[in-house]
Formats: sequence, C-alpha cells, structure tokens
Amino acid sequence: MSADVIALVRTELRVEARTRGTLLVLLPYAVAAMALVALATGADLALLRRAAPGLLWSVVVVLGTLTATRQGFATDPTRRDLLHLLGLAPEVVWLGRVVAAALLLLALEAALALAAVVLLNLTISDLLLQAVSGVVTAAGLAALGVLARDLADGANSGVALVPLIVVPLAVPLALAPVQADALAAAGTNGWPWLAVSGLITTVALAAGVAAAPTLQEVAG
Amino acid sequence: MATRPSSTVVTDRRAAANVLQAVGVTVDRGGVRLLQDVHLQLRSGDVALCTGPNGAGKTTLLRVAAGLLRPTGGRVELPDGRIDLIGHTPALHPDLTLSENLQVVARHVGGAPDEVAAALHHVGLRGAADRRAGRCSAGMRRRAEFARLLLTRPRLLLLDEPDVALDGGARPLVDDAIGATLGRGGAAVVATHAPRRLEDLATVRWMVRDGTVTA
Repeated sequence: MSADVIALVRTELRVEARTRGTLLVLLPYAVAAMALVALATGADLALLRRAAPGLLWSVVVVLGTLTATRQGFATDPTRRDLLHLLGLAPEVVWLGRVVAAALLLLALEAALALAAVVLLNLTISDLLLQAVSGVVTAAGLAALGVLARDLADGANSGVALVPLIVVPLAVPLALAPVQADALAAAGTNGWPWLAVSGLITTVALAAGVAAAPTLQEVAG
Repeated sequence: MATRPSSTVVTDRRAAANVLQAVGVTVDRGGVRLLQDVHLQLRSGDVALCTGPNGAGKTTLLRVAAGLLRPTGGRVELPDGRIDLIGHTPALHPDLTLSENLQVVARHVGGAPDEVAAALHHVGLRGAADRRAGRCSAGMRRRAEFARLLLTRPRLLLLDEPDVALDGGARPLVDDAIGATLGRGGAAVVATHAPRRLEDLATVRWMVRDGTVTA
C-alpha cells in the first residue's frame, strides 16, 4: 500500500513540476498580498509583527485550498478509474493525492514564512512548535481540500461547493498555529492548541479514507 | 470486416472458464434506474458485441463489468486477472508525455521502463513518446490507450466505441488487442454503434435498451 501511495505521490509531483501551477502561479500572489499589507501599515513595525501570524496563516488557508483542489493526475475521474483498474484501492489513491498536496503546501508554507519574516517582520517564538503546526495544518488543509473537491464533483456542483466545505474547518485549523505562537511568545505552553488542528486533521483524513470508495464511484 | 484472431484458443463455450458473470444486476443512480435485472455470462474466448442506442446503458454496463460501479442489486463475479477499460475519454494527463503517462501504468503493474517504449513503438507512436498528451491528436491519444493494453495484459478487455478517432490504418489495433486478450484465456466486450466491422469476432451479442440487456 505504501509503495503505491509513494508511486502516486511521485506522479502528482511530476505533474506539478511540469505545470508549476502551485509554486510559480500561487506564490507570487501571496507574496504580493503580504507586501501590500506591509506597505499599508507603513513604519508601524509593532502592528505588522502582531498581524503577521494571522496574515500568514490566512494566506496559507487560501493557497492550501487552491493547492488541494488543483488538477492533478488522480483528480480526473477517468484517470482515477484507471488507477483503480491497476489495482489501487480508492483509499490509496485518496491518500496519495492528500500526501502530494500536503508536500506542496509544506513547500508553500516554508516560502511564505520566509516572506513573512522579511516583509512582515514575523518572529517565530518556538521553531519546533511552528514546524509541527505547519505539518499538521498542511495535512489537514490537504485532506479537507481533496475531500471537498471530491464531494463537489460528486454533487455536480463544480468547485463552488469547495469553500463552503473547507472554510468552517479550515478557520480553526489555521487558528491553532496562530494561537500556539501567541502563547509561546508570551512564555506559555502553546502545544495544547496543536490538539485542535490535530483533531481536525485526523477527522478529515478518516472521513476521506472512509468516503473514498463511494466518492470515486459517484464521480465516475 | 474483421476476422477472428488466430490466437483464439477456446472454442467450446461449455468447457471454457467463466470470466464474467452478472446475476440479476440492477443499478440505480440519482433516482434513475440505469440497469434492470441484467443476467450475463462471459466465458474464456468470448467476444461480446454490445449495441444499443445512446443512453441505453452500455457504458454503465461496462463500468459494472469493470468493477468500477457497484450494482444496487444482484451480483457480479469479476475475473481473477486484470481488467482494462478503454472508454470515451482517454485516461492520460495532458501535461505528461505519452511515455510518462504509460510509465505511471508500468510502475503500478510492475512493468519495465523499456516495455513502455516497446508498447508505444507497437502502436506507431515511437516518434511521439516525448510529446505531451495534451498536444497529441485524438487518434494518437487513442493509440496510446491501446499501447497501455500491452502493459496491463487484461484478462477482461472492455472497449467503449474503440474505433472512434482511429484511422483505418490503426483499426487493426482493436482486433489485435482483442486477439491478445483471448490468447491469454480472457474475454472482451465491445460496445459499439458500428457492429458490422466487428461482427465476425463476436461470439455473444448483447442488445441494451432502456437499461435492459437482451443476450
């Protein structure tokens, strides 16, 4: 199973390398948004620093949704059917898509964090806490996005349904690293906030795996 | 008119092994009955010619036979070996080359990379191996789908309008694919609006109309 997931992740990343739809298209917009906020606040570095985590994770939510719902190899129902005929269980295909999206999102998060340090005067109080938060949030957003896309495809609603499904859960998912960082900056333990994002991520992953066979069948 | 491939090894239907069996299959979707109490049997060496008007249920029948659609009622017994389906839409990513698309298949069926090159060569696409699928003609994409069959080696081959987009010179690919499947002890189902060309291959005829199948 893991070999199939890895093979599928390689395929998805190859598609991304060919299209560069995530890193070269989405990233400049995100950096531009940060630069505009920095310019708007002028010389108020303290305000910028306070707003930086919220802005960073807001951008991550938007980009995360777009990344998870992008056109990959296994997004298309016909190609997903092919993978099924090749012996890959729908759950494996679903996990492969999520892992690929999460890896792309992690790369985006790293680039955005760097941009936020430069443009928004972002300071990271607990690097390990933020790194773990980044991984959990990336996995959660990827799972939510892929699940939402499949639900939207199954409902024949196009991508219009995606934000309605993603946003209610993505907000607390992004709030967790913001709050965790704020607590860490105040010298308090920020790790309990990770339980929130961890729970949402676990539920999204479990729901996606459980629903994968039905969603694949309905999309075909 | 196609001729029956010489690689066909099974001639006695009663003695041949079951490749596919459907018993009382019903498929409902979105409140609509797509298939109604379908009973079918395919044995090793069979070629089923599936005809019927648009929207009659031919594609649904193929998807059920492929195991891609679970019936609402009844049961389907699928073969032990691999199943492959060539449908209306090519299962190729437009941004990957033809070679890369087939490498995805090879990776999952345990095929060697040089098998991909050989498969593309076999269908006349050696010169286009590094061309993105999205920049290939519909006929080339169709040929690439037939190249895939050389990697998957299905025991049950399902073809939905296989001649579409293929020029006259490429049509033997359809006959060859069916012949190779039968040579492996398998069976094939061909859904088509132009049954005359494949009439000589057929051992079974299924007429699909309003979700019911008459054998």
